[in-house]
Amino acid sequence: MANDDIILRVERYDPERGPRPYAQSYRVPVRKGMMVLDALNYVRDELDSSLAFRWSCRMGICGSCGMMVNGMPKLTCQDPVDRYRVRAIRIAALDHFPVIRDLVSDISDFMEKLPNIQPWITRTEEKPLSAGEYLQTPEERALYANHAACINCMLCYAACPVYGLDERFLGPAAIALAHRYNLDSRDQGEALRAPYLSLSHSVWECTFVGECSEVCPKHVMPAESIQREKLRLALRWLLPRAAFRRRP
Amino acid sequence: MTLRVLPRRRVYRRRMTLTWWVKNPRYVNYILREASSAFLTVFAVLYIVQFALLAAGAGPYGRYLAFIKSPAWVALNVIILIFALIHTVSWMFLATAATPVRIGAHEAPSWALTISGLVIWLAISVGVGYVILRG
Ligand code: SF4
Ligand code: FES
Repeated sequence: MANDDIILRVERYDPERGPRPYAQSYRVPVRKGMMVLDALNYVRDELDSSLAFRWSCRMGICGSCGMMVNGMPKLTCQDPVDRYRVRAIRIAALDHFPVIRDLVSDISDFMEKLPNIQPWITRTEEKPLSAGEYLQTPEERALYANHAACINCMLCYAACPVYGLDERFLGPAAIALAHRYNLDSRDQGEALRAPYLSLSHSVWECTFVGECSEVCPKHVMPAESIQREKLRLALRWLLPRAAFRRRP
Repeated sequence: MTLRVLPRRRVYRRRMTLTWWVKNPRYVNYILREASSAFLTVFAVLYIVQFALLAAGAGPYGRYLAFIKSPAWVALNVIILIFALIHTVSWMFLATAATPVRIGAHEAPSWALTISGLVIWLAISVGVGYVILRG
């Protein structure tokens, strides 16, 4: 074995083969600057074309290459293999999602929940087209900018034990996105999102483990967003309606 | 052309184990923080019992004062104190992360809020300790 070879120990699953996953190891020569995703692509190109995994952009934008690497959720296209000082790197599909095949997980649960928080600019009063666009100052944009960076990679769900124990939980990224639109000066939808966010499997189910923010590759800070939504919802319930100025 | 309906997908679900929280130090930290609330509850209950004994008169309260000098009792209180400190310090980190404090157009960084919170907490503790120990 060449000195700079690594072993990828992949948890594979093939529904045709049986109900349980099985481990398979591959030896991969390390190149300079190699990411875990590059190592997987080497396996598929050179060793075993049956290995299934998702990826697209290779630059941390599309959010499709999330996997468990040595037990931690990682964007594999941004995860250098030389970070792991061990010879064997364990790779598995993201925690807490059903596995369809090998490293491909089924995230439809998130996709089905997402529209409920209306992750778009919601207006109760539309301005006529002639009034022009909805303008925003740089300061107003800065309020939500980091929450808007989410790439739906689902690392935060894989890191969240609350979601792992109860998949009815709305989960980190969805709530962070609700928070992002609630903070947007052009949005008027907070009152419409509030009933859904107040349901029992929404913000109040979060116990602030905080790991979602630790693993998020885009610094969206979902954990903090959830607590801030709790605060906003509590104030909404406590204070008279007049306290909430309608946005223009 | 006939439309073939795909069979329902067979998926594999990896379940969480009972020891899920051991594999990551941040999860251990979280479990300690959650566990601390149990110890704080014990402390609160004992505190109320202590008041009840005080109200019951000198006899019962005197026996209680003798009892709390036992090593087991002191040990329990030391454990409660450790968990109370874990709880307080972690609360300072969490509460400040959750509370947006805006100064002008900018949000105050949460580390600044955490440090301020810890300093205020220490100052109040020292003040209260001084008043109690002096009296
Ligand atoms: S919040 Fe972060 S970790 Fe979660 S899906 Fe968005 S980018 Fe990924
Ligand atoms: S391949 Fe697009 S984020 Fe990794």
